[in-house]
Amino acid sequence: MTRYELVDHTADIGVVVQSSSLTGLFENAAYALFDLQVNLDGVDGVELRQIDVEADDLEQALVAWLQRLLVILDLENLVFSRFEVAEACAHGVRGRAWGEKLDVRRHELRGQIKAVTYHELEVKKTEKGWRAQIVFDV
Amino acid sequence: MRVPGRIYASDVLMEAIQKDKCTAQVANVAFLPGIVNYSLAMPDIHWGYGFPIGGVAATDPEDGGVISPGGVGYDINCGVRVARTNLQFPEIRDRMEELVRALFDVVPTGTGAGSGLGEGVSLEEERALVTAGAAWAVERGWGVPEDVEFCEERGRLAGADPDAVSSTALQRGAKQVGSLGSGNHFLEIDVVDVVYDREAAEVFGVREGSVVVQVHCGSRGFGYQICDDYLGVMQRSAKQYGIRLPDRQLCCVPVKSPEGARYLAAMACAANYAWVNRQVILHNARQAFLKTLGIPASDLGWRLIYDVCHNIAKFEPHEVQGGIRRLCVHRKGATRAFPRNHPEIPEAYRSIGQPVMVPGDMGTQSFICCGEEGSMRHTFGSSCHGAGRVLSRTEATRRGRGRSIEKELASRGIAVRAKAHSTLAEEMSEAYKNVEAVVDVVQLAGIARKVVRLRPVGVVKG
Repeated sequence: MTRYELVDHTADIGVVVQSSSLTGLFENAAYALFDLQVNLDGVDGVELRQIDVEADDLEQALVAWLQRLLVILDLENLVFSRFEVAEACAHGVRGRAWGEKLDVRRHELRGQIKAVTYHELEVKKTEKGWRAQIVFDV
Repeated sequence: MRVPGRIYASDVLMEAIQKDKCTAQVANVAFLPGIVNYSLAMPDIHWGYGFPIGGVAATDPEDGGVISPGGVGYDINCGVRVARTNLQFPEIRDRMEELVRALFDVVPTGTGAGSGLGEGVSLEEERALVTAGAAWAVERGWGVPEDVEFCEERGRLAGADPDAVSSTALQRGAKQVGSLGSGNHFLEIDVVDVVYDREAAEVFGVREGSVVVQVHCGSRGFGYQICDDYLGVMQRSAKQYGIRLPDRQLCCVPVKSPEGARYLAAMACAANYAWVNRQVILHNARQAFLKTLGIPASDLGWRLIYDVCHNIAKFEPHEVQGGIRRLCVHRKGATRAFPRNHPEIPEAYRSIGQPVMVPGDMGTQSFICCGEEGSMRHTFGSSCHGAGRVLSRTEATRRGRGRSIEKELASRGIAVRAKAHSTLAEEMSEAYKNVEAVVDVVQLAGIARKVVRLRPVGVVKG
Protein backbone atom coordinates (compact mmCIF):
# COMPACT_ATOMS: atom_id res chain seq x y z
CA MET A 1 0.00 0.00 0.00
CA THR A 2 1.32 3.47 -0.79
CA ARG A 3 1.79 5.51 2.32
CA TYR A 4 0.78 8.80 0.74
CA GLU A 5 -0.88 10.21 -2.36
CA LEU A 6 0.17 13.26 -4.31
CA VAL A 7 -2.37 16.04 -4.79
CA ASP A 8 -1.97 18.52 -7.63
CA HIS A 9 -0.61 21.88 -6.57
CA THR A 10 0.75 24.35 -9.11
CA ALA A 11 3.92 25.58 -7.42
CA ASP A 12 4.42 23.24 -4.50
CA ILE A 13 3.68 19.64 -3.53
CA GLY A 14 0.41 18.57 -1.92
CA VAL A 15 0.03 15.18 -0.25
CA VAL A 16 -2.79 13.27 1.40
CA VAL A 17 -1.87 10.70 4.04
CA GLN A 18 -4.19 8.29 5.79
CA SER A 19 -3.93 5.76 8.61
CA SER A 20 -6.13 3.80 10.98
CA SER A 21 -4.47 5.61 13.91
CA LEU A 22 -3.31 9.14 14.59
CA THR A 23 0.21 7.95 15.41
CA GLY A 24 0.27 6.03 12.11
CA LEU A 25 -0.86 9.17 10.32
CA PHE A 26 2.08 11.13 11.68
CA GLU A 27 4.45 8.28 10.72
CA ASN A 28 3.10 8.21 7.16
CA ALA A 29 3.37 12.00 6.84
CA ALA A 30 7.03 11.81 7.87
CA TYR A 31 7.60 9.04 5.35
CA ALA A 32 6.10 11.22 2.62
CA LEU A 33 8.30 14.16 3.63
CA PHE A 34 11.47 12.12 3.09
CA ASP A 35 10.33 9.89 0.23
CA LEU A 36 9.68 13.02 -1.84
CA GLN A 37 13.28 14.10 -1.31
CA VAL A 38 15.25 10.84 -1.52
CA ASN A 39 14.44 7.33 -2.76
CA LEU A 40 14.06 5.66 0.66
CA ASP A 41 14.56 2.13 -0.69
CA GLY A 42 18.29 2.63 -0.32
CA VAL A 43 18.25 4.34 3.09
CA ASP A 44 19.24 2.24 6.12
CA GLY A 45 17.99 2.90 9.62
CA VAL A 46 21.32 2.94 11.43
CA GLU A 47 20.97 6.26 13.23
CA LEU A 48 18.18 6.98 15.69
CA ARG A 49 16.82 10.35 16.80
CA GLN A 50 14.21 10.98 19.48
CA ILE A 51 11.88 13.83 18.54
CA ASP A 52 9.61 15.63 21.01
CA VAL A 53 7.69 18.73 19.95
CA GLU A 54 5.00 20.84 21.57
CA ALA A 55 1.99 22.44 19.91
CA ASP A 56 -1.28 24.29 20.48
CA ASP A 57 -3.45 22.09 18.25
CA LEU A 58 -3.31 18.97 16.11
CA GLU A 59 -2.43 20.71 12.84
CA GLN A 60 0.38 22.59 14.48
CA ALA A 61 1.60 19.33 16.06
CA LEU A 62 1.87 17.77 12.60
CA VAL A 63 3.75 20.77 11.19
CA ALA A 64 6.08 20.91 14.21
CA TRP A 65 6.90 17.18 13.96
CA LEU A 66 7.67 17.34 10.25
CA GLN A 67 9.48 20.63 10.53
CA ARG A 68 11.76 19.23 13.25
CA LEU A 69 12.65 16.31 10.98
CA LEU A 70 13.51 18.76 8.18
CA VAL A 71 15.76 20.71 10.56
CA ILE A 72 17.67 17.52 11.44
CA LEU A 73 18.11 16.81 7.72
CA ASP A 74 19.61 20.29 7.30
CA LEU A 75 21.78 20.27 10.41
CA GLU A 76 22.99 16.68 10.48
CA ASN A 77 22.50 15.65 6.86
CA LEU A 78 20.42 12.71 8.12
CA VAL A 79 17.74 11.15 5.91
CA PHE A 80 15.09 9.13 7.75
CA SER A 81 13.29 6.11 6.37
CA ARG A 82 11.52 4.62 9.43
CA PHE A 83 9.34 6.36 11.99
CA GLU A 84 7.65 5.36 15.22
CA VAL A 85 5.28 7.79 16.89
CA ALA A 86 4.49 6.93 20.51
CA GLU A 87 2.15 9.82 21.11
CA ALA A 88 0.46 12.42 18.91
CA CYS A 89 -2.12 14.85 20.20
CA ALA A 90 -3.05 18.55 20.14
CA HIS A 91 -0.35 19.30 22.70
CA GLY A 92 2.50 17.75 20.78
CA VAL A 93 4.28 14.68 19.45
CA ARG A 94 6.73 12.13 20.86
CA GLY A 95 8.36 9.95 18.27
CA ARG A 96 11.51 8.34 16.95
CA ALA A 97 13.07 8.29 13.51
CA TRP A 98 15.72 6.00 12.02
CA GLY A 99 17.89 6.85 9.07
CA GLU A 100 21.42 7.46 7.89
CA LYS A 101 23.73 10.18 6.60
CA LEU A 102 22.86 11.31 3.10
CA ASP A 103 25.39 10.02 0.59
CA VAL A 104 24.81 11.38 -2.91
CA ARG A 105 26.88 8.56 -4.42
CA ARG A 106 24.52 5.92 -3.02
CA HIS A 107 21.23 7.71 -2.49
CA GLU A 108 18.96 8.80 -5.30
CA LEU A 109 18.01 12.44 -4.71
CA ARG A 110 14.56 13.65 -5.73
CA GLY A 111 13.57 17.22 -4.89
CA GLN A 112 14.20 19.35 -1.88
CA ILE A 113 11.41 20.45 0.47
CA LYS A 114 11.93 23.89 1.96
CA ALA A 115 9.15 23.84 4.53
CA VAL A 116 5.87 22.40 5.75
CA THR A 117 3.13 24.99 5.24
CA TYR A 118 -0.18 25.66 7.00
CA HIS A 119 -1.92 26.31 3.69
CA GLU A 120 -5.04 24.10 3.36
CA LEU A 121 -3.61 22.00 6.18
CA GLU A 122 -6.11 19.52 7.54
CA VAL A 123 -6.00 16.69 10.08
CA LYS A 124 -9.37 14.93 10.23
CA LYS A 125 -10.97 11.88 11.76
CA THR A 126 -12.66 9.74 9.12
CA GLU A 127 -14.77 6.59 9.19
CA LYS A 128 -11.66 4.50 8.58
CA GLY A 129 -9.29 6.36 10.88
CA TRP A 130 -7.38 9.57 10.20
CA ARG A 131 -6.62 11.67 7.13
CA ALA A 132 -4.26 14.61 6.70
CA GLN A 133 -3.66 17.00 3.82
CA ILE A 134 -0.36 18.87 3.70
CA VAL A 135 1.28 21.30 1.26
CA PHE A 136 5.08 21.28 1.19
CA ASP A 137 6.94 24.35 -0.08
CA VAL A 138 9.53 23.28 -2.65
CA MET B 1 -12.71 41.48 1.75
CA ARG B 2 -11.55 44.92 2.85
CA VAL B 3 -10.43 45.97 -0.65
CA PRO B 4 -11.02 44.61 -4.17
CA GLY B 5 -8.58 42.28 -5.88
CA ARG B 6 -6.88 43.28 -9.12
CA ILE B 7 -5.08 40.83 -11.40
CA TYR B 8 -2.95 42.06 -14.31
CA ALA B 9 -3.35 39.59 -17.16
CA SER B 10 -4.30 39.10 -20.79
CA ASP B 11 -7.32 37.02 -21.82
CA VAL B 12 -5.07 34.09 -22.68
CA LEU B 13 -3.21 34.21 -19.37
CA MET B 14 -6.46 34.67 -17.46
CA GLU B 15 -7.71 31.36 -18.80
CA ALA B 16 -4.80 29.52 -17.17
CA ILE B 17 -4.97 31.65 -14.02
CA GLN B 18 -8.59 30.73 -13.43
CA LYS B 19 -7.78 27.03 -13.52
CA ASP B 20 -6.06 26.98 -10.14
CA LYS B 21 -6.83 28.38 -6.72
CA CYS B 22 -4.77 31.55 -6.99
CA THR B 23 -7.76 33.83 -7.55
CA ALA B 24 -9.20 32.71 -4.21
CA GLN B 25 -5.84 33.55 -2.69
CA VAL B 26 -6.04 37.10 -4.09
CA ALA B 27 -9.40 37.36 -2.33
CA ASN B 28 -7.97 35.97 0.92
CA VAL B 29 -5.16 38.54 0.95
CA ALA B 30 -7.79 41.28 0.62
CA PHE B 31 -8.84 40.44 4.21
CA LEU B 32 -5.52 41.61 5.71
CA PRO B 33 -6.07 44.44 8.22
CA GLY B 34 -4.81 47.81 6.96
CA ILE B 35 -4.48 46.72 3.31
CA VAL B 36 -4.48 49.71 0.94
CA ASN B 37 -6.26 50.07 -2.44
CA TYR B 38 -6.13 46.51 -3.82
CA SER B 39 -4.95 42.98 -3.27
CA LEU B 40 -2.78 42.89 -6.38
CA ALA B 41 -1.48 40.11 -8.59
CA MET B 42 1.02 40.23 -11.41
CA PRO B 43 0.46 38.26 -14.67
CA ASP B 44 2.73 35.42 -13.50
CA ILE B 45 0.29 34.72 -10.67
CA HIS B 46 -0.17 31.09 -9.68
CA TRP B 47 -1.29 29.08 -6.69
CA GLY B 48 1.11 29.34 -3.76
CA TYR B 49 0.56 28.92 -0.03
CA GLY B 50 -1.26 31.79 1.74
CA PHE B 51 -0.47 34.60 -0.69
CA PRO B 52 -0.63 33.75 -4.37
CA ILE B 53 2.77 33.72 -6.04
CA GLY B 54 2.88 37.00 -7.94
CA GLY B 55 0.95 38.73 -5.16
CA VAL B 56 1.52 42.30 -3.96
CA ALA B 57 -0.17 43.81 -0.90
CA ALA B 58 0.62 47.11 0.77
CA THR B 59 -0.56 47.79 4.31
CA ASP B 60 -0.57 51.09 6.17
CA PRO B 61 1.12 50.78 9.60
CA GLU B 62 -0.65 54.00 10.72
CA ASP B 63 -4.00 52.40 10.00
CA GLY B 64 -3.57 49.08 11.81
CA GLY B 65 -1.66 47.64 8.83
CA VAL B 66 -0.16 44.20 9.35
CA ILE B 67 2.98 42.33 8.48
CA SER B 68 2.46 38.73 7.35
CA PRO B 69 5.38 36.27 7.14
CA GLY B 70 3.25 34.26 4.69
CA GLY B 71 3.21 37.35 2.46
CA VAL B 72 6.99 37.16 2.24
CA GLY B 73 7.33 33.39 2.12
CA TYR B 74 9.75 30.83 3.52
CA ASP B 75 12.48 31.77 1.09
CA ILE B 76 12.94 35.34 2.33
CA ASN B 77 14.64 37.53 -0.30
CA CYS B 78 14.57 34.87 -2.92
CA GLY B 79 15.78 36.89 -5.87
CA VAL B 80 17.70 37.16 -9.10
CA ARG B 81 21.16 38.54 -9.83
CA VAL B 82 22.63 38.93 -13.27
CA ALA B 83 26.16 39.85 -14.39
CA ARG B 84 27.33 40.93 -17.84
CA THR B 85 30.60 39.89 -19.50
CA ASN B 86 32.69 41.00 -22.49
CA LEU B 87 32.18 37.56 -24.01
CA GLN B 88 30.28 37.01 -27.24
CA PHE B 89 28.54 33.66 -27.50
CA PRO B 90 30.51 32.32 -30.52
CA GLU B 91 33.70 32.64 -28.42
CA ILE B 92 32.45 30.13 -25.84
CA ARG B 93 29.97 27.99 -27.78
CA ASP B 94 32.37 25.05 -27.86
CA ARG B 95 33.31 25.41 -24.19
CA MET B 96 29.75 25.29 -22.86
CA GLU B 97 29.82 21.74 -21.43
CA GLU B 98 33.09 22.56 -19.71
CA LEU B 99 31.77 25.84 -18.28
CA VAL B 100 28.58 24.26 -16.98
CA ARG B 101 30.59 21.49 -15.32
CA ALA B 102 32.87 24.10 -13.74
CA LEU B 103 29.88 26.05 -12.40
CA PHE B 104 28.33 22.85 -11.05
CA ASP B 105 31.60 22.09 -9.23
CA VAL B 106 31.97 25.46 -7.50
CA VAL B 107 28.34 26.06 -6.55
CA PRO B 108 26.81 23.50 -4.15
CA THR B 109 23.32 22.49 -5.31
CA GLY B 110 20.47 20.38 -3.97
CA THR B 111 19.99 18.61 -0.63
CA GLY B 112 22.91 18.29 1.80
CA ALA B 113 25.29 20.11 -0.52
CA GLY B 114 27.10 22.27 2.05
CA SER B 115 28.46 25.79 1.64
CA GLY B 116 30.21 27.58 -1.19
CA LEU B 117 32.63 28.76 1.50
CA GLY B 118 34.01 25.33 2.33
CA GLU B 119 33.01 24.54 5.89
CA GLY B 120 30.60 27.45 6.03
CA VAL B 121 30.84 30.21 8.64
CA SER B 122 31.00 30.32 12.44
CA LEU B 123 27.85 31.43 14.27
CA GLU B 124 29.66 34.61 15.30
CA GLU B 125 30.59 35.40 11.70
CA GLU B 126 27.06 34.61 10.63
CA ARG B 127 25.69 37.23 13.01
CA ALA B 128 27.99 39.78 11.37
CA LEU B 129 27.02 38.55 7.89
CA VAL B 130 23.27 38.86 8.45
CA THR B 131 23.71 42.37 9.83
CA ALA B 132 26.00 43.66 7.06
CA GLY B 133 24.57 41.96 3.94
CA ALA B 134 26.42 41.86 0.59
CA ALA B 135 29.24 44.13 1.83
CA TRP B 136 30.26 41.35 4.26
CA ALA B 137 31.14 39.11 1.33
CA VAL B 138 32.83 41.86 -0.68
CA GLU B 139 35.04 42.81 2.28
CA ARG B 140 36.22 39.21 2.43
CA GLY B 141 37.10 39.01 -1.25
CA TRP B 142 33.91 37.55 -2.76
CA GLY B 143 33.24 40.35 -5.20
CA VAL B 144 34.14 43.98 -5.79
CA PRO B 145 32.81 47.11 -4.03
CA GLU B 146 30.72 48.09 -7.11
CA ASP B 147 28.65 44.93 -6.64
CA VAL B 148 27.02 46.43 -3.56
CA GLU B 149 25.99 49.55 -5.48
CA PHE B 150 24.03 47.40 -7.95
CA CYS B 151 21.96 45.46 -5.42
CA GLU B 152 18.46 46.51 -4.39
CA GLU B 153 18.90 48.27 -1.00
CA ARG B 154 22.65 48.13 -1.67
CA GLY B 155 22.50 44.53 -0.50
CA ARG B 156 21.57 45.38 3.06
CA LEU B 157 18.11 45.78 4.54
CA ALA B 158 18.24 48.10 7.54
CA GLY B 159 17.01 47.03 10.97
CA ALA B 160 18.48 43.53 10.97
CA ASP B 161 18.88 42.17 14.50
CA PRO B 162 20.39 38.69 14.94
CA ASP B 163 18.94 38.56 18.46
CA ALA B 164 15.52 38.22 16.82
CA VAL B 165 16.70 35.03 15.08
CA SER B 166 16.51 31.56 16.69
CA SER B 167 19.65 29.53 17.25
CA THR B 168 18.16 26.84 14.97
CA ALA B 169 17.95 29.32 12.10
CA LEU B 170 21.54 30.43 12.67
CA GLN B 171 22.74 26.82 12.80
CA ARG B 172 20.92 25.95 9.57
CA GLY B 173 22.29 29.03 7.84
CA ALA B 174 25.91 28.61 8.94
CA LYS B 175 26.44 25.59 6.71
CA GLN B 176 24.69 26.85 3.60
CA VAL B 177 26.18 30.21 2.62
CA GLY B 178 26.93 30.23 -1.10
CA SER B 179 24.64 27.34 -2.03
CA LEU B 180 21.90 27.26 -4.66
CA GLY B 181 19.20 25.00 -3.23
CA SER B 182 16.74 23.13 -5.43
CA GLY B 183 13.34 23.42 -7.15
CA ASN B 184 13.12 26.42 -9.46
CA HIS B 185 16.49 27.85 -8.36
CA PHE B 186 19.15 27.93 -11.03
CA LEU B 187 22.49 29.25 -12.16
CA GLU B 188 22.43 29.98 -15.86
CA ILE B 189 24.59 31.16 -18.72
CA ASP B 190 22.49 33.18 -21.17
CA VAL B 191 22.97 34.97 -24.46
CA VAL B 192 21.32 38.27 -25.30
CA ASP B 193 19.31 37.37 -28.39
CA VAL B 194 17.00 40.37 -28.82
CA VAL B 195 17.56 44.00 -27.84
CA TYR B 196 14.38 46.07 -27.51
CA ASP B 197 15.84 49.19 -25.92
CA ARG B 198 19.32 50.03 -27.23
CA GLU B 199 19.96 52.88 -24.84
CA ALA B 200 19.19 50.82 -21.73
CA ALA B 201 21.09 47.78 -23.09
CA GLU B 202 24.10 50.01 -23.58
CA VAL B 203 23.87 51.17 -19.97
CA PHE B 204 23.76 47.49 -18.91
CA GLY B 205 26.82 46.90 -21.13
CA VAL B 206 25.22 44.28 -23.39
CA ARG B 207 24.31 43.88 -27.07
CA GLU B 208 23.13 41.01 -29.29
CA GLY B 209 25.30 37.97 -28.63
CA SER B 210 26.58 39.13 -25.23
CA VAL B 211 27.02 36.41 -22.62
CA VAL B 212 25.46 37.07 -19.20
CA VAL B 213 25.26 34.92 -16.08
CA GLN B 214 22.13 34.76 -13.98
CA VAL B 215 21.40 33.22 -10.58
CA HIS B 216 18.05 32.65 -8.85
CA CYS B 217 18.08 31.66 -5.18
CA GLY B 218 17.41 32.98 -1.68
CA SER B 219 18.15 32.64 2.01
CA ARG B 220 18.16 28.82 2.20
CA GLY B 221 17.39 27.09 5.53
CA PHE B 222 18.12 30.30 7.43
CA GLY B 223 15.13 32.08 5.89
CA TYR B 224 12.86 29.01 5.94
CA GLN B 225 13.45 28.63 9.69
CA ILE B 226 12.78 32.31 10.42
CA CYS B 227 9.49 32.12 8.53
CA ASP B 228 8.46 28.94 10.35
CA ASP B 229 9.47 30.33 13.77
CA TYR B 230 7.42 33.49 13.27
CA LEU B 231 4.39 31.70 11.80
CA GLY B 232 4.26 29.94 15.19
CA VAL B 233 4.58 33.21 17.09
CA MET B 234 1.99 34.99 14.95
CA GLN B 235 -0.62 32.26 15.07
CA ARG B 236 -0.72 32.76 18.82
CA SER B 237 -0.48 36.56 18.68
CA ALA B 238 -3.00 37.11 15.89
CA LYS B 239 -5.75 35.89 18.21
CA GLN B 240 -4.72 38.44 20.84
CA TYR B 241 -4.99 41.20 18.26
CA GLY B 242 -8.40 39.90 17.21
CA ILE B 243 -7.24 39.09 13.67
CA ARG B 244 -9.20 36.36 11.89
CA LEU B 245 -8.23 35.25 8.38
CA PRO B 246 -9.49 32.68 5.88
CA ASP B 247 -6.11 30.90 5.61
CA ARG B 248 -3.86 30.06 8.53
CA GLN B 249 -0.77 30.64 6.40
CA LEU B 250 -1.73 34.34 6.18
CA CYS B 251 -1.40 34.85 9.94
CA CYS B 252 -0.13 38.32 10.75
CA VAL B 253 0.24 40.97 13.43
CA PRO B 254 0.19 44.78 13.29
CA VAL B 255 3.44 46.25 11.95
CA LYS B 256 3.37 48.41 15.08
CA SER B 257 3.48 45.56 17.58
CA PRO B 258 6.40 43.95 19.42
CA GLU B 259 5.92 40.70 17.46
CA GLY B 260 5.77 42.57 14.16
CA ALA B 261 8.93 44.54 14.95
CA ARG B 262 10.76 41.35 15.92
CA TYR B 263 9.75 39.53 12.76
CA LEU B 264 10.86 42.48 10.62
CA ALA B 265 14.26 42.49 12.39
CA ALA B 266 14.64 38.76 11.72
CA MET B 267 13.34 39.06 8.14
CA ALA B 268 15.97 41.74 7.45
CA CYS B 269 18.64 39.28 8.65
CA ALA B 270 17.37 36.69 6.16
CA ALA B 271 17.24 39.30 3.38
CA ASN B 272 20.88 40.14 4.09
CA TYR B 273 21.81 36.45 4.19
CA ALA B 274 20.28 36.01 0.73
CA TRP B 275 22.30 38.91 -0.70
CA VAL B 276 25.48 37.36 0.68
CA ASN B 277 24.41 34.03 -0.75
CA ARG B 278 23.96 35.40 -4.28
CA GLN B 279 27.12 37.50 -3.90
CA VAL B 280 29.20 34.42 -3.09
CA ILE B 281 27.56 32.26 -5.77
CA LEU B 282 28.13 34.71 -8.60
CA HIS B 283 31.66 35.47 -7.42
CA ASN B 284 32.45 31.75 -7.43
CA ALA B 285 30.85 31.52 -10.88
CA ARG B 286 33.12 34.34 -12.07
CA GLN B 287 36.19 32.50 -10.77
CA ALA B 288 35.01 29.35 -12.58
CA PHE B 289 34.77 31.33 -15.85
CA LEU B 290 38.27 32.78 -15.40
CA LYS B 291 39.79 29.41 -14.60
CA THR B 292 38.01 27.48 -17.34
CA LEU B 293 38.64 30.01 -20.09
CA GLY B 294 42.14 30.92 -18.85
CA ILE B 295 41.64 34.62 -19.57
CA PRO B 296 42.47 37.68 -17.45
CA ALA B 297 39.68 39.41 -15.52
CA SER B 298 39.96 42.47 -17.77
CA ASP B 299 39.09 40.34 -20.81
CA LEU B 300 36.16 38.69 -19.05
CA GLY B 301 34.77 42.09 -18.07
CA TRP B 302 32.42 40.61 -15.48
CA ARG B 303 30.17 43.29 -13.96
CA LEU B 304 26.98 43.05 -11.97
CA ILE B 305 23.96 44.46 -13.81
CA TYR B 306 21.63 44.23 -10.84
CA ASP B 307 20.30 42.10 -7.99
CA VAL B 308 16.57 42.16 -7.15
CA CYS B 309 14.56 40.47 -4.43
CA HIS B 310 11.14 39.02 -5.16
CA ASN B 311 10.04 37.67 -1.73
CA ILE B 312 10.14 40.54 0.72
CA ALA B 313 8.24 43.13 2.75
CA LYS B 314 9.60 46.68 2.59
CA PHE B 315 8.68 50.12 3.82
CA GLU B 316 8.28 52.54 0.95
CA PRO B 317 6.58 55.92 0.47
CA HIS B 318 3.67 55.69 -1.97
CA GLU B 319 0.97 58.09 -3.04
CA VAL B 320 -2.43 57.12 -1.70
CA GLN B 321 -5.49 59.30 -2.27
CA GLY B 322 -3.39 62.38 -2.96
CA GLY B 323 -1.09 62.03 0.05
CA ILE B 324 2.21 60.24 0.61
CA ARG B 325 2.07 57.33 3.03
CA ARG B 326 4.82 55.03 4.24
CA LEU B 327 3.47 51.59 3.42
CA CYS B 328 4.61 48.06 4.19
CA VAL B 329 4.74 46.53 0.71
CA HIS B 330 4.62 42.71 0.64
CA ARG B 331 6.00 41.25 -2.57
CA LYS B 332 5.49 37.49 -2.77
CA GLY B 333 6.91 36.47 -6.10
CA ALA B 334 6.95 40.05 -7.37
CA THR B 335 9.82 42.39 -8.17
CA ARG B 336 10.31 46.02 -7.31
CA ALA B 337 10.19 48.06 -10.54
CA PHE B 338 11.02 51.67 -9.75
CA PRO B 339 10.99 54.02 -12.74
CA ARG B 340 13.49 56.58 -14.07
CA ASN B 341 14.77 59.19 -11.60
CA HIS B 342 13.62 57.29 -8.52
CA PRO B 343 16.04 58.18 -5.71
CA GLU B 344 16.31 54.54 -4.56
CA ILE B 345 17.94 53.26 -7.73
CA PRO B 346 21.65 53.51 -8.61
CA GLU B 347 22.80 56.75 -10.23
CA ALA B 348 23.81 54.80 -13.36
CA TYR B 349 20.19 53.71 -13.93
CA ARG B 350 18.38 56.96 -13.14
CA SER B 351 17.96 57.68 -16.85
CA ILE B 352 16.57 54.23 -17.75
CA GLY B 353 14.76 52.91 -14.65
CA GLN B 354 15.53 50.03 -12.31
CA PRO B 355 16.45 46.73 -13.95
CA VAL B 356 13.75 44.09 -13.43
CA MET B 357 14.85 40.50 -14.06
CA VAL B 358 12.13 38.18 -15.28
CA PRO B 359 13.49 34.68 -15.71
CA GLY B 360 11.44 32.28 -17.81
CA ASP B 361 11.98 28.54 -17.82
CA MET B 362 15.29 26.79 -18.41
CA GLY B 363 14.46 25.90 -22.01
CA THR B 364 13.14 29.08 -23.59
CA GLN B 365 13.94 32.65 -22.59
CA SER B 366 14.23 35.29 -19.88
CA PHE B 367 13.86 39.06 -19.98
CA ILE B 368 15.57 41.99 -18.39
CA CYS B 369 13.14 44.89 -18.19
CA CYS B 370 13.24 48.35 -16.64
CA GLY B 371 10.70 49.86 -14.25
CA GLU B 372 8.20 52.37 -15.68
CA GLU B 373 6.09 55.18 -14.25
CA GLY B 374 2.92 53.08 -14.18
CA SER B 375 4.35 50.91 -11.41
CA MET B 376 4.23 53.85 -9.00
CA ARG B 377 0.64 54.68 -9.96
CA HIS B 378 -0.82 51.19 -10.06
CA THR B 379 1.24 48.48 -8.33
CA PHE B 380 3.16 50.08 -5.47
CA GLY B 381 6.29 50.05 -7.62
CA SER B 382 6.06 46.33 -8.43
CA SER B 383 6.22 44.05 -11.46
CA CYS B 384 6.21 40.36 -12.31
CA HIS B 385 9.06 38.04 -11.24
CA GLY B 386 8.99 35.15 -13.72
CA ALA B 387 6.89 33.09 -16.07
CA GLY B 388 4.71 31.48 -13.42
CA ARG B 389 3.92 27.81 -13.36
CA VAL B 390 1.03 26.39 -15.29
CA LEU B 391 1.50 22.66 -14.62
CA SER B 392 1.70 21.10 -11.18
CA ARG B 393 4.94 19.34 -10.34
CA THR B 394 3.17 15.97 -10.38
CA GLU B 395 1.71 16.64 -13.84
CA ALA B 396 5.11 17.77 -15.13
CA THR B 397 6.70 14.60 -13.72
CA ARG B 398 3.99 12.50 -15.46
CA ARG B 399 4.72 14.22 -18.76
CA GLY B 400 8.45 13.73 -18.25
CA ARG B 401 8.24 9.93 -17.92
CA GLY B 402 10.26 8.11 -20.54
CA ARG B 403 11.84 11.35 -21.75
CA SER B 404 15.35 12.66 -21.24
CA ILE B 405 14.97 16.37 -20.56
CA GLU B 406 18.80 16.70 -20.68
CA LYS B 407 18.84 15.36 -24.24
CA GLU B 408 15.89 17.49 -25.30
CA LEU B 409 17.63 20.60 -23.99
CA ALA B 410 20.95 19.54 -25.55
CA SER B 411 19.24 19.23 -28.94
CA ARG B 412 18.19 22.88 -28.54
CA GLY B 413 21.76 23.91 -27.72
CA ILE B 414 21.37 24.08 -23.94
CA ALA B 415 23.91 22.27 -21.74
CA VAL B 416 22.38 21.28 -18.40
CA ARG B 417 23.57 19.67 -15.18
CA ALA B 418 21.31 18.88 -12.22
CA LYS B 419 21.86 17.22 -8.87
CA ALA B 420 18.47 15.47 -8.99
CA HIS B 421 17.13 14.25 -12.34
CA SER B 422 13.54 14.57 -11.14
CA THR B 423 14.08 18.35 -10.85
CA LEU B 424 14.53 18.58 -14.62
CA ALA B 425 11.14 17.03 -15.35
CA GLU B 426 9.42 19.22 -12.77
CA GLU B 427 11.06 22.29 -14.26
CA MET B 428 10.49 21.47 -17.95
CA SER B 429 9.44 24.30 -20.26
CA GLU B 430 5.85 23.03 -20.58
CA ALA B 431 5.41 23.51 -16.82
CA TYR B 432 5.62 27.27 -17.24
CA LYS B 433 3.58 29.98 -18.88
CA ASN B 434 5.05 31.76 -21.87
CA VAL B 435 7.23 34.36 -20.16
CA GLU B 436 6.93 36.74 -23.09
CA ALA B 437 3.14 36.80 -22.69
CA VAL B 438 3.68 37.73 -19.04
CA VAL B 439 6.17 40.48 -19.81
CA ASP B 440 3.95 41.86 -22.58
CA VAL B 441 1.20 42.44 -20.01
CA VAL B 442 3.42 44.50 -17.68
CA GLN B 443 4.71 46.44 -20.67
CA LEU B 444 1.19 47.16 -21.88
CA ALA B 445 0.19 48.24 -18.39
CA GLY B 446 3.12 50.68 -18.26
CA ILE B 447 4.65 48.92 -15.24
CA ALA B 448 7.93 47.85 -16.89
CA ARG B 449 9.33 47.72 -20.42
CA LYS B 450 11.39 45.09 -22.18
CA VAL B 451 15.09 45.90 -22.60
CA VAL B 452 16.64 42.60 -23.67
CA ARG B 453 15.64 38.99 -24.16
CA LEU B 454 17.97 36.24 -22.98
CA ARG B 455 18.30 32.72 -24.34
CA PRO B 456 19.70 30.03 -22.00
CA VAL B 457 22.75 28.10 -23.23
CA GLY B 458 24.04 26.55 -19.99
CA VAL B 459 21.98 25.61 -16.93
CA VAL B 460 22.86 24.36 -13.43
CA LYS B 461 19.97 23.07 -11.29
CA GLY B 462 19.59 21.59 -7.81
